[in-house]
Amino acid sequence: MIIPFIVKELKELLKDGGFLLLALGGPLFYSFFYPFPYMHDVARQIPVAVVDEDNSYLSRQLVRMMRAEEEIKPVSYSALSEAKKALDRREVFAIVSLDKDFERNMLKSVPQQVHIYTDASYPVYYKQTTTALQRAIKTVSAGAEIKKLQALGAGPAAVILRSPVQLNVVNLYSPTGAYRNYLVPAIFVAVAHQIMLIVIGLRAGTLYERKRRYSARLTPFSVWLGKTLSFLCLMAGYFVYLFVLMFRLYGFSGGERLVSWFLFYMLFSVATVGLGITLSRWFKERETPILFIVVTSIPLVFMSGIIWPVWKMPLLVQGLRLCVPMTYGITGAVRLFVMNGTWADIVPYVCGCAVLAVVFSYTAYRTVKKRYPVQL
Amino acid sequence: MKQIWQQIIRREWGIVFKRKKSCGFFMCVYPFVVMGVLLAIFSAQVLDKIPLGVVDNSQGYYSHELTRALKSNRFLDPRPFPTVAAAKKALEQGRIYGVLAVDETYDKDLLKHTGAQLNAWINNEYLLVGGNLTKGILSVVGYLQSKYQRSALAGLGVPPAMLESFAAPLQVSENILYNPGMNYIYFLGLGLLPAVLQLFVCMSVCYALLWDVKTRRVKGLRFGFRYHPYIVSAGRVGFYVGGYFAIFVLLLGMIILFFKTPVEGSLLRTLCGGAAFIYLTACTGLLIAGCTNNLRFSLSICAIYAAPAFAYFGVSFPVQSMPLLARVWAELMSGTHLNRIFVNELLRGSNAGGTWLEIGFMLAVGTLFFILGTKGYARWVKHDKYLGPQL
Repeated sequence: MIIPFIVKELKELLKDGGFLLLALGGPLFYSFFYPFPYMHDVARQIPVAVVDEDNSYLSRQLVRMMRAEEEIKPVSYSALSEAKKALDRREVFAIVSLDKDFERNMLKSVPQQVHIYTDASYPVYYKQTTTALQRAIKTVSAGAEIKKLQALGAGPAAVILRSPVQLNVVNLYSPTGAYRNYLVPAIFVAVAHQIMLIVIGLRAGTLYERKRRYSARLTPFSVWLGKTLSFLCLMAGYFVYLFVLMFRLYGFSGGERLVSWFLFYMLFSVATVGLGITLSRWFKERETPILFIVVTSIPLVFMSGIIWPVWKMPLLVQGLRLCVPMTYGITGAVRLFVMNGTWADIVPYVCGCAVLAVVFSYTAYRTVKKRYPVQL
Repeated sequence: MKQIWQQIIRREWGIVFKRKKSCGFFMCVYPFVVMGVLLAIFSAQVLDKIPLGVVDNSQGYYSHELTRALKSNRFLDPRPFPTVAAAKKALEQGRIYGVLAVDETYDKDLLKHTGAQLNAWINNEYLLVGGNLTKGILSVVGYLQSKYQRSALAGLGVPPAMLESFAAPLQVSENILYNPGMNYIYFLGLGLLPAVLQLFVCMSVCYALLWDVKTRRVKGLRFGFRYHPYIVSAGRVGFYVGGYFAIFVLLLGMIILFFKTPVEGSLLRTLCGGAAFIYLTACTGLLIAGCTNNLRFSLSICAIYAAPAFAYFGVSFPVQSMPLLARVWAELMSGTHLNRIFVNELLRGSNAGGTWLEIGFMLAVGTLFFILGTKGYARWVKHDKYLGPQL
């Protein structure tokens, strides 16, 4: 009884051009379009203005050190005012100014300041330029310090005397700070979630406009089960495309956790489909779900905690995010793929998602029952 | 002309606020809800007091001094853990974002001048959190390092006047321009405003224009489209440009007033930029409607055009560092230009010439889209065969 219903439902879906465009074209397009701007992973060769008023051996050595940094690309300017104008015009994103007496002061043991002006209106540029410039300047400084300490008779201990505390920093999960690895798994979950909600709404709106009735042999329960299973087939298709094919194409790690992720993903899919059917109660036109669901994509992605940490959000938002399947899906994907976690690491999210799956399945069933026998 | 416009505006008003109330909700309430949620997410504004697990295996004077220094840093919220394993577990569970382990021999090594060890593990998966956490730890360690270095140098007989030249012959004097407090609302909040409005404006215009075609109500405008297509089209698009400009002003006002966003340049130029942005986005909606004459298809295109726009604006990742094709696409997004105007006028207070260039570009491209869109849309309106089924 249910299997013929599922087959019929899937056949009807595949006959609908609007559905095909969204359900098949959407993931296809977004899977390339979203990660595309991040293809270079990190910002490199950011132009930085260098105003070298000294033009001495030491100042040129410092500029050479800057050139060796991959994040920045030093560009020479003759005056600070010119460099400032270039900064205003966005031709450069930081300025380094070396005083006229740079070398003389260094040789005379007068502490010398290197003035850097960084543009914090673009945080990515700010982080990259400030890190690279500080590293270059500190390397030159360290060389001078060690030479002086050795002259003082410190010998091989000069290195330890120079830095008595040694800090070893290990960047976990995304060592290079690459944007693509960090954002793409989360974005793929968001794409599957949002497209599924729209597609379910689109189907409900279409059926509402046509006002067709179910056959008397179908009970509300079998309709709900059949609809849920047919949309789950679609979600399984998204899984294969987004998390198997596209992951291979982009060369992401985490393939070894595919089974764990598939199990969790299907639970997430049950919750998403349930939410979609519940929301479709309010969609009486084919186009309304596109209108109302697309605009929720941005807040839902931000609410998931992928960009801004959850503990910095107000309590109300923290509560609200727990009612959205996307939150659990994104967190689970990040734990498994980016943080190389195991099934044990995602247990809290599995539990949360399971609760939502039960609640939304029940509300979905109520929605189908309310509209029955008119098709939904 | 005035009469035509009055009639059209009255007609659009009737559709949005009387006949299709969901449209009124979508246009007048929903943007505030979406933007309200987004601004609430970033209401903390600054990413400070990040939980950091500290494992003090040394428990000596110097390690306590380190813990005190960590506590006084604005980016850090140190929390003690008995073992590295326990701290790492908390890190994996997301309760803390980094672990700093102090070696057992930390105090001894400092006293013996044999190099004390600190090990830090940072959760770099959250880039903003990881960046600030590293910054906080580095500044604390840097401060202590220079303190110990100076005292060691004094022990070697370096006179106090010479200490500075021995410890730091080359110093960095950093001036952080435009957003020194690293307030995230200044760039994320301002970047999200065009992202949200681009979606709303584009979809509203497409919906209004093609819902009319789908329901055949556009027949009432057929005469106007036959003889004055551009005037009628301007009236229809103008209604949404005006409405959304008012929403833009209110939302921008909220960001400026509630979050104390600076206005270093000209507010007038910013508003002009906002108007040009809404004009270009509305004309893009008109062009999409004019090219497709299919409500569902056009809304899907709007979603494809505007939903991932945030990734292309240069807020999350700089435009100059994107691949060439992505840069070209970013330049076609009205939000990219408005975002630059926000940075120019609100944060930097400079590059007025650049602002006018952005406004000019948006107006020119908007006008081109308006002409092409009107031509296409007028074609659908003029003939019955292109209208929706008779209800």
